[in-house]
Amino acid sequence: MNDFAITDCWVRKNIPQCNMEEDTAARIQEILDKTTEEIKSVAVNKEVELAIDVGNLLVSDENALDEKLIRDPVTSDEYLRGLARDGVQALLTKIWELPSHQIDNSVYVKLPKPTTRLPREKPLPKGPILTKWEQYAREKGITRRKKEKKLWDETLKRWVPRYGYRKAQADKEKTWVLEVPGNVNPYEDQFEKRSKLKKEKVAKNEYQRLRNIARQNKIEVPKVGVTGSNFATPRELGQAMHHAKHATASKGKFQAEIPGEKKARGMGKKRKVEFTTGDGEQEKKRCLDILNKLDKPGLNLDLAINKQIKDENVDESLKRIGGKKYGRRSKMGGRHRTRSDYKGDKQGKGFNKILKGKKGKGKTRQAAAAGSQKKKAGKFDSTFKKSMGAGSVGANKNRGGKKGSKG
Amino acid sequence: MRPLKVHETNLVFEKLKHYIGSNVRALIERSDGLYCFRLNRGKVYYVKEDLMKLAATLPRESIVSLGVCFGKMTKSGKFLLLVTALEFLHMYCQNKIWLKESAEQNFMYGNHVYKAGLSRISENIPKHAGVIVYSSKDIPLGFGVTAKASVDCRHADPMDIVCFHQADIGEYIRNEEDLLS
Repeated sequence: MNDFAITDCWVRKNIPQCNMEEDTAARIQEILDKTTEEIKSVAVNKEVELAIDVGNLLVSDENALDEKLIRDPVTSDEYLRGLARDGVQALLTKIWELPSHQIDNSVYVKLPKPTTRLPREKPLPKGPILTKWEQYAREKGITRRKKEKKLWDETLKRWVPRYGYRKAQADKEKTWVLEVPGNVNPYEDQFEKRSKLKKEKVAKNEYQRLRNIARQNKIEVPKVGVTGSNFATPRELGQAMHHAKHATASKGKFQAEIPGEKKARGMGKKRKVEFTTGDGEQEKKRCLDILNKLDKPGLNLDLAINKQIKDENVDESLKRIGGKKYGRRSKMGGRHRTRSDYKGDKQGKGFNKILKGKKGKGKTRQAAAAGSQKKKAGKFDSTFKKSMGAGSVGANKNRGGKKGSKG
Repeated sequence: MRPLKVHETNLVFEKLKHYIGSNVRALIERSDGLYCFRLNRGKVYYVKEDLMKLAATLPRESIVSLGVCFGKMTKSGKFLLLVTALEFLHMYCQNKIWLKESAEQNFMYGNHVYKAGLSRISENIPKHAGVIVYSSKDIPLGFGVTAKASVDCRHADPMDIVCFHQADIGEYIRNEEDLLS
């Protein structure tokens, strides 16, 4: 990587070219003069020596600039050029001093290690995100202290582990009896209280552990509703209420409002603000969409009136004849009526309420065969047909046709 | 200055539709560049986009007017067309009323149009439809809302109101301060 190639021609340039045809003394002298001049110019003399970092190919000139020369627009260019030449010359002289080798007519030099430290290209990597305790300990200057794994227990007269295997057992052995404090309910189970406290501590620790993981992974943790707090601000309580209200299947759409309830701020949908100087084409599209919506026909009056008249007629006839509108089935399921159910209805075996209420129980085929009841049964059949017909009117359109064919 | 919100755009378009029907589309789909609606200090302006972008560099308090003022948003949340929109309304309007010369001045003082002053009316205008009022020489004078369908106008009394006044070009003199502020 640090190989530095010096081309052939560059090397040749430094060697004076002799024309063998001209042998005059003057010419030789001239050439000699020129050579000495060139050799002279290779040396760079500076008051303060140039600092050269060959590894970085860097030369720094710490000499004071000649104010007069640099301010003059005529000479400044020449002066600066000269300075640059000196620097490059000094650098190349240093490079030529290095051991070189030749590969394919090119001279290569291995550059030494750079001495100038360059600043880092990328920002320093951030360390791991500390847990809450680590952060606190660092602030307070708390250092980790090595604790013994086992402790001497005075009551058990043996070494007991601080935690882990056989710790719980030792605890059980030690606390076979518990004192009931004077200020508490004497019938309270102290052991239960203790285990409850322990469980709470474990749960709290687990929550904190998870919170630290979330912190490290930059996940937002809801601040309310999980552990709660005795010192919650009104805003936090409001937010907790908001979350509680919206934790239903319908996202709180049907939750009743409490009188005087204030809505939690900043929890709702965020308003999308369009840019004043946004994309013009997009805005045009938005406007056209709104226009398209406006152009759509709203309520079809004729259809609506016809439907209303039909519904009223059906209601009236139902009131006259009696029966129930089999319009809608509950969304929660309910029994799906099959062909045999309708058949059963007709024959007087259905689960239909009208049937039971109006005609009484036990109306069987045999009973219907009786002369006087035959008439009634006939009437019922027609009632049922009508009620089914009404059902198909109010029912949704998909089922309407099907039912109609059945009725 | 800001673009109209969805409900505001709805209000503006509904009102414009009242006067120019489906030609509202022509205001947006123009061949000579992009045009947009902007709201500044409660007034709705119809501006070419380039001009709007230039105006956006100014503080909104300093902008007196830009493009063509179509109307204003009232404090009760309605959109009110102003007479400055007449230029575009009469270009695309469908329902027209022409006045007799004697009634022109009366209308331009802000009065309603009576049957007596009516010279011509375009056919099949329903009741309560937006109309543009023209002078006898076909100069747009203002706009209003029909009080009667055009069929009923024929048999109306001379003193019956035919068209309710909404805006007229007399406002340029009468309400000069309100129109440009």
